Amino acid sequence: MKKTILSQLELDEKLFSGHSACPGCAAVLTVRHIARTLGEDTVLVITASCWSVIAGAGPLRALDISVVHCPFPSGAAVASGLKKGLQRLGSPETRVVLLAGDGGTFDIGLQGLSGAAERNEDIIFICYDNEAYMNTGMQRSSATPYASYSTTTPAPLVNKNPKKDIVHIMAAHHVPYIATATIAYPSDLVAKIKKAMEIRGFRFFHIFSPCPPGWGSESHKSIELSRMAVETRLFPLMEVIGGREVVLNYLPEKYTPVEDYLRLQGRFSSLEPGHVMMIQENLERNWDYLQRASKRYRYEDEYWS
Amino acid sequence: MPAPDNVLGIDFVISRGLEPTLVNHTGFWRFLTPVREEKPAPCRQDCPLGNGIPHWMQKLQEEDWSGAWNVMERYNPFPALTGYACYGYCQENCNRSFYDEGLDIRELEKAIGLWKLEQGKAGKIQFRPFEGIQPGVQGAAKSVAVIGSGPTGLSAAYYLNRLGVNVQVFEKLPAAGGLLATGIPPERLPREILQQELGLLQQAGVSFVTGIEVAAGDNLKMLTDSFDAVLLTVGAQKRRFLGIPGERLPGVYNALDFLRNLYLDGERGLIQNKGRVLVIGGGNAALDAASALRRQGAADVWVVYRRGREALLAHESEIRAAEAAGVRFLFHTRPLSLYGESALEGVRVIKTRPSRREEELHDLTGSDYTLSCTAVVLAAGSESGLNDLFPQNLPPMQPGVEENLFQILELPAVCPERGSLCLAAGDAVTGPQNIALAIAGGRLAARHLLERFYGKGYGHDFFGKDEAQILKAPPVSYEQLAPHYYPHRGRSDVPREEAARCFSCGLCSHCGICWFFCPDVAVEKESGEYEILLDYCKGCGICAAECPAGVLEMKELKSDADAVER
Amino acid sequence: MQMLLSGNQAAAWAVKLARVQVVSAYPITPQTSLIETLAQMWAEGTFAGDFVVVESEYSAMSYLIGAASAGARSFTASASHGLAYMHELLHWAAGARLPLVMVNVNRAIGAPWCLEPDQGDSLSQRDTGWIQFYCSSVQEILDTVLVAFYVAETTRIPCMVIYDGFALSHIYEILDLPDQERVDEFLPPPPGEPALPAPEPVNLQPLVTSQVMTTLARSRHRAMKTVPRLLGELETSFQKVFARSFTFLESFGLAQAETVLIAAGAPAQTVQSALPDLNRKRGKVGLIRLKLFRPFPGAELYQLLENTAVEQIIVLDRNLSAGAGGIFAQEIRSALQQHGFQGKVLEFNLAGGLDLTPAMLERGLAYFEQVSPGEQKEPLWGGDLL
Repeated sequence: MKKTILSQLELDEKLFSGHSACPGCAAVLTVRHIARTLGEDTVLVITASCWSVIAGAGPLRALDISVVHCPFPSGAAVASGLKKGLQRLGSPETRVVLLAGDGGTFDIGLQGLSGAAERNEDIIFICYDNEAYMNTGMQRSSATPYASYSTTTPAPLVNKNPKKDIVHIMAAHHVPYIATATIAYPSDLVAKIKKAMEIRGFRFFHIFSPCPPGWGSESHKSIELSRMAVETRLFPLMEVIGGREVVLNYLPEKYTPVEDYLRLQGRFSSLEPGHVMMIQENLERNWDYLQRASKRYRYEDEYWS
Repeated sequence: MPAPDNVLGIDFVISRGLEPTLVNHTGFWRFLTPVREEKPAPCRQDCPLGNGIPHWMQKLQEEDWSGAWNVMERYNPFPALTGYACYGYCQENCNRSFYDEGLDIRELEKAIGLWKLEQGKAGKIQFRPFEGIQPGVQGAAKSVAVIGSGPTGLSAAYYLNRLGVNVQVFEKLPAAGGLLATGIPPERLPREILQQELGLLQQAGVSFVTGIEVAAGDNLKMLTDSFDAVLLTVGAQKRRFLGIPGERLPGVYNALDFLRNLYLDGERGLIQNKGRVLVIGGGNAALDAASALRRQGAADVWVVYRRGREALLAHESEIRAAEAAGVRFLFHTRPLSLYGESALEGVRVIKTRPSRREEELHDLTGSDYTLSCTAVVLAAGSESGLNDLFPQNLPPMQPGVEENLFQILELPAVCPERGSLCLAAGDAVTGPQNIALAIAGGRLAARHLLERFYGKGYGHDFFGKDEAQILKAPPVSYEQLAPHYYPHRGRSDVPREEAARCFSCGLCSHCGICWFFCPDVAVEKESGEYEILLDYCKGCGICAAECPAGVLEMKELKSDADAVER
Repeated sequence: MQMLLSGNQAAAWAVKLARVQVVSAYPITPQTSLIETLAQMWAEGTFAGDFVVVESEYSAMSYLIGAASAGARSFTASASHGLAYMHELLHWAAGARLPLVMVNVNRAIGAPWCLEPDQGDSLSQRDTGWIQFYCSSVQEILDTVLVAFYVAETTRIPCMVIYDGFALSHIYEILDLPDQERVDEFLPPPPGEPALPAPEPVNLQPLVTSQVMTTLARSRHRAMKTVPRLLGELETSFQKVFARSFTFLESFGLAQAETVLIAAGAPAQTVQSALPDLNRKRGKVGLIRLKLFRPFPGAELYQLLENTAVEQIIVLDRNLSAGAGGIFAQEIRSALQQHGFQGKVLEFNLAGGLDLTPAMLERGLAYFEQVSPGEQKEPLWGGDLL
């Protein structure tokens, strides 16, 4: 751990102070280290999201790598075209990385994402998931968890739909590499980015990213919430290789009850005991499925090949 | 405004951000500021020496043995001795024990001590003089006579010598070491370790005079005349009696005498006793003596104590050792008299009502009975050796320095003429304590003498910053830490690995977590230390929440300048 | 080389000859045969660019925005709903000053479904900041695609080449297909540096204030305004290389005309061929073919009419802005009025993609002879003349 962190110290900083992210923003922190890991021969394509603002307004720039902004649903295709253009014009090694929020991934960006994945475009798609439309002030998306408040699902009704399982949607595209990560596990995150950098073709990252103002959590809890999401198994750290090989990267020694996690967040303040039970049960089912899948998928692979 | 870029005279402007956001000083968003403050780790608070354990742990993690020794030396010059013989108070409340298993601090201390002995023997490390000594001072070399070669005396001798003072140690017994040689079983402290430490001290320039007893009067006056100071580290070995009939009968021994004779001269007479031996008392000396008897072969050894097990004064490890050695206990029992015609035949005892240590003791009326035995070992406590030194009446004393438990006394009346100094320290002042506190007393006495000789602040270069303030704060609690960055792992025999388990409670370990987790890139590594850039810090508090050592804290400050001062 | 090609095939040939590097497209009637032709060329290896079929028009345009940001010469084609689906990206490409070229094959936008060549799809994109050319022949399609690349790359304004679905896209005509050397001579590689990769890290198209936005808007407007001048200069070089003319505003029989028909796209070709007959039967009729619609060549149009005896202008619109009328008519009326034209601008509307026949034209002219100036309350509906 310490080694991973200190080895990052040797890399050039790619994020400037003075950016306009809210205090305690996990998205900016995650991208800070992803950008360091990616290095300078990278172009970051950013679709409409908090990062459209964070990257710097007017004559400013918050990142020390090139960034190009694009409309909300267009990210995957713009990045694909950019990669193609760079290949045509003599910069085939320049990495193209797309940064999209959960809206730009789960909702409005899903079609383009699916297209790019199906064409196996040579880009890295990074979805930082803060579980709602945060740049516009906490409206629900299809990544918003069950029973969460949002300005478009106010209390007492709250969000009645479960979160979309984006990893499995992407797995069904059989892309070379899919990974989940959070900044609370830096060595895992950095290792996965490095691994993705060595792979050609479409690579997808689902990154859990707490948002203090949106979630009604304290700004210093962003890392703790990320960690709890993993320790509760609400957000398993995993990889899907080639769409069929499921690898669970981290098996918590002790499972944190999901209630502990929910209680730290204002967005779940109108939660009833029944809700908590349902979330916990749903999580157990998902975990159970993943544990079985992480073995059975391999078996099936042999069966089909 | 975007820069125009005319191609073939046609208006062409696109929007480009080229200037870093550094022009935005987001620090003004902040209402809480991360402040880094060193706090005491529980191990440090519990250590009578206030040993800067996390400081040398950091060096050990990097296998920097000489760095670890340099830190250790500031607090404890004899880590091998304490590594073997200290009860290890530091380990009792280690925060790591809430996570998986507490650190084996004493083993690591011992490892540093053994490294020091090995290097010292090979002449690879020097003990004198300290390189940082102030120029101009060396010329006016001072001399100190240290009376008593127990841990306090040795510690004072070490530091004084290390900082340029000529030291002569006087010991009334034929061998140096005091209680280390006479009181601690060789199983706990191998004597060759003590011999090596003594050897290094001599090698460093400390001279020892053994077999000479210093007494008050002309004897002491001679010393105050020829030395700039006399330090009385005579311990607390003046025997106490119970004040009951029969204490002078043959067959009645004193625990300290028994141990000294056993360890120093190999006197085994008592051990060969085939009958029942009663050890009366509940302190370390009682339990030590009982254990030694059993280990050396005595058949039937009982500890008689007036209260219950929980009230025993001896350290838990001593009690366990005694139990393991097969010592039997008779609790809630008090001796009334020892009887016998020409030699001891038995003890008249009475039962007492169970009570806590701080409560008054009550006998159970009519419960007295006779216990037959062939020997009794009295361990009724001991008192300051100063009472032996000044048997008539103690000279007036005044407190020298008080720092936590460490105390020294000045005896100005002893040497008024020449303006030389007379000080007492260690068990002689505090009463019987433990080896760590004894070493601390010697250290304190040395610092005090150095300041008296050369002026305030002398020796700070060597001892480092004054940590009294730090140690006054409450110890870092487990809740203040963020331990999840450490993999769950039990103790390791490899020093580097074991040291790496240290949470470094209250002390920045340069792990870089604050730097790594700062979303605002507002933590910078400047000349080895992590600094908060207040121009940009938005005060989110992640650094403080995630600091594994609990060193950072969010505070409401009036101005940035407040933070800088700290 | 003389060849018999459909409009869509001609466009595909132009793309190949222009050495386009990236094509990204999504099929839609009646554009389909264009990208099929390109796909075939690509499969055979005669088209050396990348040909990427994406999952929607939206992504097709997005893809090109990416490719052009890296400096690749890029092309797509669409029609109708497909073009509408690209809408926000058309704005984005223009705002980012990416020299994209696309073909739009006119087709009505539903509801209900209709495949006829209404111009409403491209005219809905009037204000996206793209240059718009309306072609009237297969040869012109090929020529205009080549010119479009030149103009787009020079001005850094994206360019849309528009022609009528079926009436042009699927009609075969003999054209003069230039050889590669001549095209290379006319169309060198794009000038200027691509936006990416940048020599120093850059934050491209960031969030800006209204002050920046207004500067950008004015710059785009000024660049747009240079297009007629640029096309005027181009006439000579085009003539020199290809030995034929390329004009953005063409007139027929203006010297004698009292009535002038103004048309864009395939209907202009119908009028042109019917002109001798109309003059014989109705007398003193001329034609202006509007090829460039954005930027709108108002001054140039007025210059054509200045010092003529034209009193009446009839604008043929195969489009409709419901509640206002034909879109060409509104633009022409406003531009001519601004320049002091005294005559009347009347509307002949073929909305819904009505096919214009010479008989309809004749009936229409007869109708307009009955209308006294200022009395036309609403357009003459072509549908009423069937």
